Formats: sequence, structure tokens, C-alpha cells
Amino acid sequence: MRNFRAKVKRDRYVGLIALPGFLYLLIFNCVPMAGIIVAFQNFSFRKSIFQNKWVGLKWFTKFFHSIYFTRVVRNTLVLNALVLFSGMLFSILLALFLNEFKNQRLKKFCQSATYFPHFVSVVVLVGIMTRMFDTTTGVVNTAIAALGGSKVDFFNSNVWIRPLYVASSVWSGAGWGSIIYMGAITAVDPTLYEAAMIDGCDRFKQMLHITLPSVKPVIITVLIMNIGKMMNLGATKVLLMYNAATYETMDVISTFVYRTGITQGEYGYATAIGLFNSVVNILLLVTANYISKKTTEVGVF
Amino acid sequence: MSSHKAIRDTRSDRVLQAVSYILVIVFTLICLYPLVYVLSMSFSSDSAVMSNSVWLLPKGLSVNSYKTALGDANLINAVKNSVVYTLLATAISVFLTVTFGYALSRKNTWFNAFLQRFAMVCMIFSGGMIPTFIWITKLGLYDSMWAFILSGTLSIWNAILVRVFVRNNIPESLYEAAYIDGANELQQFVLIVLPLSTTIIAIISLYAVVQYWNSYLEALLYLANRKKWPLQVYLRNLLEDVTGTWDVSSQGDEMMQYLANQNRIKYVSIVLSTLPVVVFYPFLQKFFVKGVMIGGIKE
Repeated sequence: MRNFRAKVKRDRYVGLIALPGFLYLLIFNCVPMAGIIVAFQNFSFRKSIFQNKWVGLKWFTKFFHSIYFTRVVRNTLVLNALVLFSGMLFSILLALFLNEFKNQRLKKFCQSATYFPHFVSVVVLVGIMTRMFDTTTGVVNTAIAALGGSKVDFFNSNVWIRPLYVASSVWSGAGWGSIIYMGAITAVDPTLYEAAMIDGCDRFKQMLHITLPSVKPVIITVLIMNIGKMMNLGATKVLLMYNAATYETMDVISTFVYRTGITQGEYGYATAIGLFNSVVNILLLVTANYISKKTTEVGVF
Repeated sequence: MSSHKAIRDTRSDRVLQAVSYILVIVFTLICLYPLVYVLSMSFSSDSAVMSNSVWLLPKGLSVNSYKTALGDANLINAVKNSVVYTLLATAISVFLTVTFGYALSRKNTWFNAFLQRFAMVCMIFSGGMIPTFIWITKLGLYDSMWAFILSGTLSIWNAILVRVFVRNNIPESLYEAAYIDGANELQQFVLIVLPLSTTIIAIISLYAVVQYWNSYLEALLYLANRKKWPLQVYLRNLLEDVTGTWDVSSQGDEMMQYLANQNRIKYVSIVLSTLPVVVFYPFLQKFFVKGVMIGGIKE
């Protein structure tokens, strides 16, 4: 006991330094975690959280039996899969091709230009898109009309809205995503290339047999972590892009939570859906991390 | 034989290089085009914008849109809000992240193992949108700027970046030397750790600036009063009006003028809301890339 007190005294300043962050997390992260009990209640803002009526698994059953269940789960998985894998593909290709650049200035310029969209806000991104793809005034439809095609109402079309969502994600993320692969490429031992050159490998074979294998561990880690994120899709961009006409293909779990909870005020129901989503997310993440640690000895935690 | 081979190789190398240049440059142009388009639209005359004749460079060069935008009290108010929120939130975020990250980095404290686990739990679990919304409302922060500022202020990811940076860049011997010189841990933190951590502080600050400047959902959730809206929410509402179906013919002249003005400042508002990012971009790029490298995987 005396020993412990001595330690407390010894570390009092580090403890003091840790305190603000600790309190913040306690108040703004941990208390809401306890708030998931709302998922088992008939929640109302008029009563205290302890006075609400308990309803057991009512909201979960309601969700699993609702027509929205398959739709939002399917859309979440499909949108995520498309975004994560096309993003990876473009990032890897970009890194590989950038590596072939001899002109360093041009390379720097291309890097700067392709990283930039990462910093453009989602509101601006979607704003620019709605302007460019507008049916009457958009530059895309103007071009389609000029080429003799018929105009497309992109933002109200269940066929076009997903490709737009994915393409805009590639636009904003591919350059940024390439950084991590570029890092792995620059770490390759240059003598490997020299040896390959002496063995008669051209640049393409070098890319295939040296550059790509040296990036492979990074690719695997990113891939596994992406699988861990398959059910985790933030609401912001979808909220900005979808409308009632495109719920069929665009409504995802988080936006469904937003609509039921915030718009319609069904707090218990929305919390239950969110909780279901978090549980699946955690399972996926832990599994992905476990596999990652087993196969590549790299884990996030 | 060998010279023949060399020639063939050079040709295939050239092909690969040409393909690389072309593909990357095309993608680069695709990345830049929407930004150039918006910029050109913002500098074009009303008639050029109306007739859809602008596609790359501005037509009928005009700064009228900018004049209208600068006269729009709501836009100016939104910009002001965003600046205030971003500065406050960044200051708080940097303070919390650097102190907490430093505490995580000190391995030998009695509470370190607990703190690491606590941080991990906070990273993986969260209450989710609705419980957080309920709690913020119960705290009486609904429709207060503090709800916006205090959401996501301490990211565990960033605290871990600080931890990694401090551990890699500040040798234990430095702490020992300071201890021998009579500096307690608070003094060590302020006089040694902070001055040697300017890089990571810059990275964390820039992360926070970009995060808060671009943040939308939290403001949408918590700020009901239009006067409190940050730029992104204002911008969204401004941009959305056009996709809605206005029955313009039935509106009075004043309404027509209002709509024309709203229409005019759309592109300007997009430009203005992206401007800070452009201005800071050289720093952003440098430090963000460093952050990615420190974090290993950090998206």
C-alpha cells in the first residue's frame, strides 16, 4: 500500500497531464456507450433514462422483420465493397505508375494534384457533382446533348447514383491512398532493380516481380483492414447524395438510423439498429485484425 | 545479340513509361477539372453561366458573383462561425491530443497499462449517433456551438500518433538528464517534450483544422439555429435549393432577384469554402504525408 502511494505520488504530474483527455473520453465516449441501453427501452426525452419502460428485444425484432433490413444491409455492403476495392485498385495503380516517372517535377505535381481532393469537404464534393451532373445546367449533360445523346437525370437514377458515389470516392481518395504504397515502394532496396536489370528484366518485369511483391504486405494489410470496415459506412456522404427516389440503392444502415432516430424521433428503434451495426463492425474488425496478425504479423491493435 | 536485346528492352521500357505518363496525367487532369470548372464558373458573367457555355475557362470575366457574395450577410456570418468554431476546436483538440498522447507514451507509470486499454476501448467502441445525440441533448448542449466543437475533439488515432512520435524522437536519457537537473515531469513536458514535438503538433493541428472546417454531420445534428450554422451547412442549403423545384414564375420580382443572387453565389461559396485548404495546401501536404508515415496506416 505504501508502495502504491509512493507510485501515485511519483507519477502525479503525468497523471495530471493525462487527466483532461481522460475526462473528455469519459464524458463524450463512455457515457454514450452506456446510452445503448436505450436500445432496450421505450425512450422518451420527457423521462429520465432510468424511468423508461423496458421493452426487451422488441426493436431488434422489429428491425430484423422490417422490409428495410435486407435493403440497408445489402446497400451498406455493396457500397462499401465497391468503394474500398476500387479505391485500393486505383491507389495501387497510381503508385506503380508514378514510380515509373523519370521527370521528378512532373511526378511531384501529379502527386500534389491527386492528393488535393482528399482535403475537399464532402459538402463541396457533392455540391460540385450536383452542379456538374445537373439535368438542365450541368456540364456533363450539356456535353451529352451536344454529342447527340439524351440527357440523364443522374441524381434521381438508381442505375447511376452508385457509380457516381464510387467514382467520386475514387476521385477524392485514390491519390491520398497511394501514399502508403508509395512509401513501401521507396523502401525497396535499389540493388534489387540493378540485379534484375543485369538479368535482363525490363521495367515492366521489374514492376511485376520486384515492386509489386514488395508492396504486397501493405496491400494485404490494407485489404484485411478494409474487410474489417465492410459494414462501417458513415452517413454524411450518402445523406448528401441520396433522396427518396434512390433509397432503393443508396439507403444504408447509418442513414436509416439518422432518419428513424433524428428525423422521426424513434430513439429506441434507431439505437437498436445502430447497436446491431456496431456489434457486426466490432466482430468484423476483431476478426480482420486477428487474421492480419496471423498472416502478416501486422495488427492495428 | 546483346545489342538487339538492349534495343528491344528500351522499346518496352518506353512503352511502359509512355503508358504511365498518360494514365497518371489523365487522372491528374480528372482530379483538377472539377475545381477549375467551379473556379471558372465563379468568375463568369451571369449570362455565360445561364447559357451553360462555360466548360473550362471563364466566359465574360466578371467579379459580380464575388461582390454579391461579400454582400450576403448570411454567408459572411457562416464563414465567421466556421472560423470561430475551427480555431476553438483546434486549440482544444491539440491540447487534449498532445497531453493524452504524451501520457500514453510514458511507459513506466502505474496507470499506463490501464490508460492504454482505456484508449483502445474508446477507439473501438462508441455509443453511436443516437445515444450520443441523446446525451449531448441531456447535457443541455443541443443547439450550442459546444456540441459541435466537442464532438470528436480527441481522436485516439491522433493520440497514438503523438505516442509513437514522442517515443521515437525523445530519448529516455533526456528525461533522466532533466530529472537530475531537478525538473519535475510537468516541467519536462513543457520545457523538453513540447519544443521537440513541434512536427507532431503541426500535424495534429492541421488534422483538426481540416476536420472542423469540413465538418458537416455534427452541425446538422446539433445546430438548429441558422445563425449558428458553420459554412458547410450553409453551403449545403444554398446548393440544395436549386435541385428543389421552385415555381419561379409565381414569385414576385423581389423573389426573382433573391433567387438570382442565390444562384450567383453558389460557385463563389464553393470556392470560398475551399480557399483555406488551398492556401494551406503546401503545409497540409507536407505534414499530412508525414502523419501517414508515422501512423503506418492512417486514413
